[in-house]
Amino acid sequence: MTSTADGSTAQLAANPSSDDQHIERAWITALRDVAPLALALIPFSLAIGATIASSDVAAPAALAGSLLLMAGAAQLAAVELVDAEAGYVVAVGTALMINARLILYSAAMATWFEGLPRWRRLLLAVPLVDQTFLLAQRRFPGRPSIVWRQQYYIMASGTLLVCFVSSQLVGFWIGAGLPPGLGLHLAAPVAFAGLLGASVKGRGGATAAIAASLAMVIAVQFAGGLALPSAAIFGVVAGSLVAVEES
Amino acid sequence: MSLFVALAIAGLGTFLFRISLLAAHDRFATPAWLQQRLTLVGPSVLAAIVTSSLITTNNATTMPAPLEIVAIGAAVLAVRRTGSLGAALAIGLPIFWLGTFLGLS
Repeated sequence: MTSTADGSTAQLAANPSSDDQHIERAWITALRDVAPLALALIPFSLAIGATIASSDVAAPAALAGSLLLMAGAAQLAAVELVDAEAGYVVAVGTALMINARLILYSAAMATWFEGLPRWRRLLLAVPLVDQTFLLAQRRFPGRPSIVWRQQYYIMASGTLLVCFVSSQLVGFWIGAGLPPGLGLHLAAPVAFAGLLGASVKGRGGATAAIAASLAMVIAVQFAGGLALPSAAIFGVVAGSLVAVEES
Repeated sequence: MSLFVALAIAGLGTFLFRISLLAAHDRFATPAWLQQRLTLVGPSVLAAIVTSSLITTNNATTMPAPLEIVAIGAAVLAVRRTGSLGAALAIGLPIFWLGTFLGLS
């Protein structure tokens, strides 16, 4: 264990050149991992930009939502609701309900960067999204170095953010000129399905995924913006029951 | 209220979600049983997102398209077999394009 200049505690290898190698590997590993997810994010972000272009809302404000929220589904829902004159309160409430799953992520994040100063952990939480959470959950177990984790997380988050914001601007600029038959709407679900394939481990994980999927079919009919977090919680509970039996 | 203010409020609320249990962790250590359960959050959220994308179009519930189910199933299998996340897009989307080209969608 080595104390860093800011007083945080990090586990570093004794050899400095080895540290550099590890950090370099963190950047490269993050880039390699995040590339398919960033690619899949582009069509979704293009669609958000195109939606803003075809709506009657204030475009600069709607586009600024990419940085204010850093959550595409919530941004899209809020913009569409304001455009449909549902009211600002409904738009804010819906966006918050869609993002309620981030509470679950923050519990995991607390364990990833344990030992870092609080301000830095809060800063790292700003770009926490589905993709970074799922990549970190896959990569961080067995990686005790906080330096490695930070480098990996920052690289993954930065790449996603650049893709997200720039693609929205391009989508806004292109507007309705996007070719329809490319099936780009399927890019994000396919990428998430791949991540699902990589993240399911054991009967508990498989049960959680199946239960959440079935719950979503029902929740989407009744729960509105809360469908996603409620289906996810149902999946976790069902998976836990099997995992307890398994252990 | 303007759209910018509404999005700023939603952004602030979202940030509070992001730090909620992170901040609580300073006072209360995350118990081992909760840490174990957190490994199930990923599969659950992903399955819910993928299902939602299959059964909703423009905020309305629809029957899932068989070709999209096949493409997504192939993406899952490709990643399970190869261990590479890139395999999802490399296999899933071409299957969808091929199916569309053959008139299966």
